[in-house]
Amino acid sequence: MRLRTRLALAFALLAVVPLAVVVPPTLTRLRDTLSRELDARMEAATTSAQESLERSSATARRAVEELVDSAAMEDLAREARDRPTRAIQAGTAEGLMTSRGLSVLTLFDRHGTVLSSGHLPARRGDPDPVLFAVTQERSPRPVPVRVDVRTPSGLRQLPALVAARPVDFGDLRLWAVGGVLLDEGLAQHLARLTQTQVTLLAGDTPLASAGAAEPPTVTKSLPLGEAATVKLVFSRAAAREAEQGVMRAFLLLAALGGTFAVLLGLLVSRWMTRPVEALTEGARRVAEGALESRVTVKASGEVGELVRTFNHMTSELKATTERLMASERIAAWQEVARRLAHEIKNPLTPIRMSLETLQAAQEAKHPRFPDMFKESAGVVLEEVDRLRRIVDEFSHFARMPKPQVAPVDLGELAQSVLALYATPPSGIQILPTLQTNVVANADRDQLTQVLVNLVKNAEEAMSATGGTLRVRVRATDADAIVEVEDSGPGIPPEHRARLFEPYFTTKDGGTGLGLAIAARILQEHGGKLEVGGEPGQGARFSLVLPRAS
Amino acid sequence: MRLRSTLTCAVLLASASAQAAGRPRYGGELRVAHDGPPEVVEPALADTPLEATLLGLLSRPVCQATRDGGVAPALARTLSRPTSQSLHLALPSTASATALARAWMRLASTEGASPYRALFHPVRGEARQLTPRGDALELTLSYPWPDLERSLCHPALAPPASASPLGPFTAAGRGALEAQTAWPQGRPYLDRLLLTATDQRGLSRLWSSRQVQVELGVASETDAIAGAALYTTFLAFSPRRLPPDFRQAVESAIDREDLTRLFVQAPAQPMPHLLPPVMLDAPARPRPPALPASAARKVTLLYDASVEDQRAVAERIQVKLHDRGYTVALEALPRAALRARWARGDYELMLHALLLPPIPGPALAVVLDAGGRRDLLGVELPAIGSLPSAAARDARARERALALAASVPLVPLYAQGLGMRFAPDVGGVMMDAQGLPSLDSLFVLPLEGTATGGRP
Repeated sequence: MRLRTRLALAFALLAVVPLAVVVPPTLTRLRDTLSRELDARMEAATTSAQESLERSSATARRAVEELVDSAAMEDLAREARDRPTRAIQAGTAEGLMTSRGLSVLTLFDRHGTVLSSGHLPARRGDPDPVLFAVTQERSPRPVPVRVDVRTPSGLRQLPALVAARPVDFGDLRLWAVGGVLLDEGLAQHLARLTQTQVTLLAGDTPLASAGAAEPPTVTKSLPLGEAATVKLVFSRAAAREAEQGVMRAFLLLAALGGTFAVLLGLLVSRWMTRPVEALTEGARRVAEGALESRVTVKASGEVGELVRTFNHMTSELKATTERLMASERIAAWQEVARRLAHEIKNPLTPIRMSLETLQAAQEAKHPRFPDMFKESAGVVLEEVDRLRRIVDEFSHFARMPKPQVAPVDLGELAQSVLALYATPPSGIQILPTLQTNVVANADRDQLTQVLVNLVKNAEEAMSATGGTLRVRVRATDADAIVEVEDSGPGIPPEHRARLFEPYFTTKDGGTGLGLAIAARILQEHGGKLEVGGEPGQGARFSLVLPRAS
Repeated sequence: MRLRSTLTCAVLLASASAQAAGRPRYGGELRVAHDGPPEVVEPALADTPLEATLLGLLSRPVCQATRDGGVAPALARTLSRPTSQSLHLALPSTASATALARAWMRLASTEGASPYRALFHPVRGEARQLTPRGDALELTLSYPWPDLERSLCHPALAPPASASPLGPFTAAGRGALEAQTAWPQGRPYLDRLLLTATDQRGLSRLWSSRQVQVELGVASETDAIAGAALYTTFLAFSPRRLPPDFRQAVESAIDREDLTRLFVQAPAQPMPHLLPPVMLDAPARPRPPALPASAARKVTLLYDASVEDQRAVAERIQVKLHDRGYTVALEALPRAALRARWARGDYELMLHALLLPPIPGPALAVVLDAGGRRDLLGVELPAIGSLPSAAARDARARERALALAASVPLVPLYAQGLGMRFAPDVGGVMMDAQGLPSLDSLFVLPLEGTATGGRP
């Protein structure tokens, strides 16, 4: 992962992690606060609902007491003593009920027979034991009961808070049982008061409902005896909305902060990594050989110091390299001079000895002087030829002509070279494996010289023991390759490093320039000469040239 | 109730006769209050006693049934039988003959949706095709029906009130009725009637403050006098939509005595049979036992929105059937809509109120038709009409009413009469056989020492 990416991620983490750490406890705290607020609201609403029910109950009780004490009721009782059905008719209670704000009123005789019913006039003449049982209550407070009421769709049972009071006139006793229905009107009133969804239940059957509560909800129940239950449904939607709002704000903040941090990280990392990248590029150029390359980026502080040190280092490296190269060149020429002197000095000794022998024989008038002269002259001539050959090869090595390249089919070239060895020495077998159409751009004469040199070396290596000489021509996608492999003693590892140096040889009478010249020819062609094979199992030389397209 | 009403009527009639012995004075006006609608137009739908009385001021049927079993011409000048199978009606004018024929044809048609069409069953073609011959109408009978004349005296068979004189009074606007001096049966004594429509509380207030002299439609609790209880109310049910034991459920649940006493304001009598007690005074059958509770069943009870007593009775039925496992929804309808639903058979339960003719035979015909047993008319009526004696026909009709009760999907509930009261200065009170007062016979008695009541 690049430094720039790491820095951007680091900045982003720096922005997001604190938020991620802060959000959970904040949300928990907020949730607790909202939960406490909802609890308080539920408590207040429940109290309000209870108070409202108690107010309704008290109002109903007062209305019944006022009815019982009213002059109208006294007149009614007086007349009912003489003519009960004429005084109290089916609609009598309804008039008394509505004028006093009641929604339940039944006038009973002392036996529990309905004389008139405001909420269910058609009950007249029947007993209503459930409602009449209220007259047996000791408490003056209204009690919850279920009463039948008329609706266009049939009778319906609704809970009511009712109180009973006797009406006495002489020996006549009537009972007025009145109260308020716990119906849709009450549910709507409680829903408005508590801002909740209010449902009146009789057992599990919903009787009336008002208001609405958006889910999720919390329910609280107010039992009204066995007659009914008031269920208050509170919505937690506002709390959830608040939590979600905070969460959204945090997420938005995290997104914005993260984005800003990433951008800032990219800018900062770019500012920080630009000198480093320039230094990296400079080092890569130096590695490729461009020792003069310099880093020109602006930087300050430690990085600036690093840039300056790098530029100073490359300057020093260039000067040092030039000095080293000069020293190497001097050393190389000293080595060449030493070897050349050594090669030249070797023939001089036999020449001197031959000439001193001739001089001594002449002074002593040696009878075999002519023979000795002839023999010594031969030695001198031989050594002179040797000197000339050394000088010629050195000249050839020093002034090698520029190759005249042209497409050369290496298979055909190898075939022509091997034709020179149609009758190899006894014990040596030549096995060519030549692929055709392996073409390289090369100087045919120089390449022939190299190949002849290698085949000759291989024959010489196997001259004592015999063996197999394998010549292969093959190609890869990029290279054209000629391999010359013998089964001779091979090349010791310690010789391989110096094998292509001028004047390095292991053969008696060798100049040590053959392989050096071959290596240089291939270098001039843009190729290379490689040595392989295992010691004791033979040597393998590979000519590698760029393949012509 | 019946004894009291009968005695009251007898006293009133005796008083009227006594007054008639002296010559009543013409003229004067009478203030009449009632709890009916301010205007009555369609006779076939004006079949409560009060509405029939009010309509009778402006439009009369061809005749008026008398209490002695006879028939007195009203709109018609004469009613005669050229043969035993035909009836000739001579009317005052061609216009009235045409109006009457049109009214009868509409009532007899299917669109008329009136149970009173059964009164025309003996007429050939059931009066669906009537062509007046000038100022006369000729009715041909399909089978002997001696009670046709008295059937035609039913108020629902009067022509609709119009500008042409069809009754003893004519409308003068704003509740005032002017005496029709050219009324063929003799002009009313009064010059003018002033009608005031109000409710029961208004009636009490007007009466106690002596602002009116006559009140119609007063409740029974006010010691009012009452006409014959011929306005009968049935609980009609659809046998196709209700279980077979529904009649037993209703009979076991509803106590007619309680229902009539506690929930019907107008003077009324419990009615245990298909014909009202004034016609069929047989003991009621004992109430059947209550059925075991069955699964809850929802039904709808239709009733007449314009009849206050029906609302109370419907609610009582709702309560009592609730105890028998029926959830009864109530639906109040205008009378025309109610009759249309009845004609289509589009109901489960319905309170069906009928002003029955005062004769058992025609009354049974109306009841059978109202109960959806029109198929029985062709069987029962010829058998009744074939009897020459009126008493025999009435006895036969009563017998058949008892026999057919179980096969007619009607539960009889109660019969009502018109509650009335008259100030002491009002004389000439007369009731017809239909139980309706003849307001055209009223006159104002002169106050002592003055002569403002009218002209001698």
